[in-house]
This record gives sequence, C-alpha cells and structure tokens, in this order.
Amino acid sequence: MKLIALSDSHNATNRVEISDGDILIHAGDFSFQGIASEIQDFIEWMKEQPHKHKLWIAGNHERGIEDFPDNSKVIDNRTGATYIHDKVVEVEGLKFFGSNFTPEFNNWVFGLTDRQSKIFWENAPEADVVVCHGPPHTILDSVTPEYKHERPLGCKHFLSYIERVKPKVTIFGHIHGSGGMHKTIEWDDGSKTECYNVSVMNEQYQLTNPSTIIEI
Amino acid sequence: MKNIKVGIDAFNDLAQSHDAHVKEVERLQKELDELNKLKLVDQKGELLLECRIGDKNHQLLLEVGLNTILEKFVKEGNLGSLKQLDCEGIDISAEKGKVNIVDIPGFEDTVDEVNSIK
Repeated sequence: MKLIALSDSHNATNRVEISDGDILIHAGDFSFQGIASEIQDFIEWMKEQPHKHKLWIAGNHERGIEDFPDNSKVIDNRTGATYIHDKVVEVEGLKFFGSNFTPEFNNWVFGLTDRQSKIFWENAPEADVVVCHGPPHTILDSVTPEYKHERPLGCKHFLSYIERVKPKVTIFGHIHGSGGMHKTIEWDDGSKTECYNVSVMNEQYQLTNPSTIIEI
Repeated sequence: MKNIKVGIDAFNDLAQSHDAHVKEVERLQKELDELNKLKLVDQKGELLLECRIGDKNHQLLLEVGLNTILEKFVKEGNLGSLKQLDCEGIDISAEKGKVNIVDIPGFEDTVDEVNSIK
C-alpha cells in the first residue's frame, strides 16, 4: 500500500507535487489562520485529489478549525476526506490515529501544556500509522538539520507513546527545517518504526519538497 | 617599444587618475545620500518631513504605517472571517473511500480531561 503524505503547505497546497497512491494524508497547517477563504481553498484542492482514501488533521495554524470544530465536518462532507483528530480509523486493514497537537507555543492553536500532553499520550490508542502535526522529541524535530539533536522541539510524551506502541509508521510536520526527511527507529524486539517529517516548506515558507511517498 | 613615462610626467598622470577616482567616490557618496533620504510631502508638494533610512523619524513613520495597516485589517473584518462555514448546499455525493471509525473505550474521557485542564 502506498501512502502519500504532506503537511505545512500554508495556502500553497495546490502547487505541491502530489504523487499517485492509495491513501492521501495531509498532516496539518494547510493554511495560515484557517479563515473561511483558506478553508474553501483547501476544500477545492482536496475535492480534486483522485486518491481512493483521504485523511487529514489540522495544525497549529488552523484557528478556524479549533474555534469552529464543525468546519472539519464541512471539509469532510464536501471532499470525501476524513478528519482523524482524536480518532482511530481503519482503512484497508490498517489502523490510523490522528492528533492535531503540538507542545504549547505562543498563541497558536491545538497546543498542549506538558501536563495535558502527558495525560493525552499516556492514554492515546494503539495504531499502525500515527499522524500527528508535531514531531516526537529528537525525531526530525530540529529547526535546521545542522543542529541535529541540539535543539529538539518535539514532544517528549509523543516520543514515549511511540516507544510504548511501536507503530509501523509515524507521520508529522510542523518543524519545516526537517521537512522531507526520514528516520528509522529499530526496537529491541526487532520491529521498526519509520518516521517521516512530511513538511513541504522550508523555514522561509518556500515550497521545497514534494509529497512524501510511504510504502507500507 | 612601449612609451613609459617617468619623473614628473608619471607623477602628473597618477595625480590626475587619483583626482578622478576621488571625484567618482564623492559623486557616488552623494548619490547614496540622496537615495537614503526620505521626504514626506503634503498634497501640494510642501515638504513636511525629511529623514534618512533607519533614523528615528523613519522608525516613527514605519510605526504609523504599520498601525494604519493593522487598523485597516481589523476594520475590514479580515480577522472576523474566522467563522463557521455555511453548511447549506453541501455536496454529500463526494465519493468516500471506505473508512471505519474504530471505537476506543475510555479515550473520550481522556480527551475531556485534557480539554478541562485548559
């Protein structure tokens, strides 16, 4: 099965190179604020995508989804996509869990304090593929790749969740500087978790990456 | 054979070249000074304020400009367009791939707990 994933397209979604595949996944930040016109543009784009299944979550920029949660239903109904925040969905025999959350930062939306994040991830359900807007701690979460792990910005509790659940794939974005990169975690029991930062923009908000193709 | 100047002739040539160079540098400096000058004039062209890029008056002008832009943005309701989209006329015929929502016992309580902490 081929997953096609992207995130952080910030109103340039229709200019991203999208590959053919079975399941299209947008991992948040399709807009700058989630105002009505931006949501409308996202609807137009998503509706046109030919993939059999389409899943999406929101990101820290989508205030129009946090303040008006029913907008997610409008997007789903008009595009045939499925909003998977706080949900597990089963598609073609695979379980997907989605979360919009990132560690709280300034005045952005869908941010969790450390305490909230701990409760959330300790109780988050198991899944084969986890789609979260923000990265786990130390996994492709640096502002620029040169910093490597010196400035990790990801969520520690999300990392603990991955250590507990060991999903086959984790997909995230948010930190543009590590966009388009892939890392494999090998566990003691021989299993692996493939991690993908699927941001299509760089730190200067320029489109630099195509959608990511993930074979599973 | 190449005509090579020596003595006072060579010195005069060098002095002329140096003078020309200094004049060109002065001209460019003046041009740069002019480019760095900003003039605020009224509708009749009367000079209201003259400043240089980066000085205090320029900073004040930028602040006034930004405040005006922000005021316009708020007044025109751009921030207000965060809203619930109209649900009428939804095209529910969009073909949806088969997606089964999986029940997660207890997780709703976790979400409620997380939200209640905010």
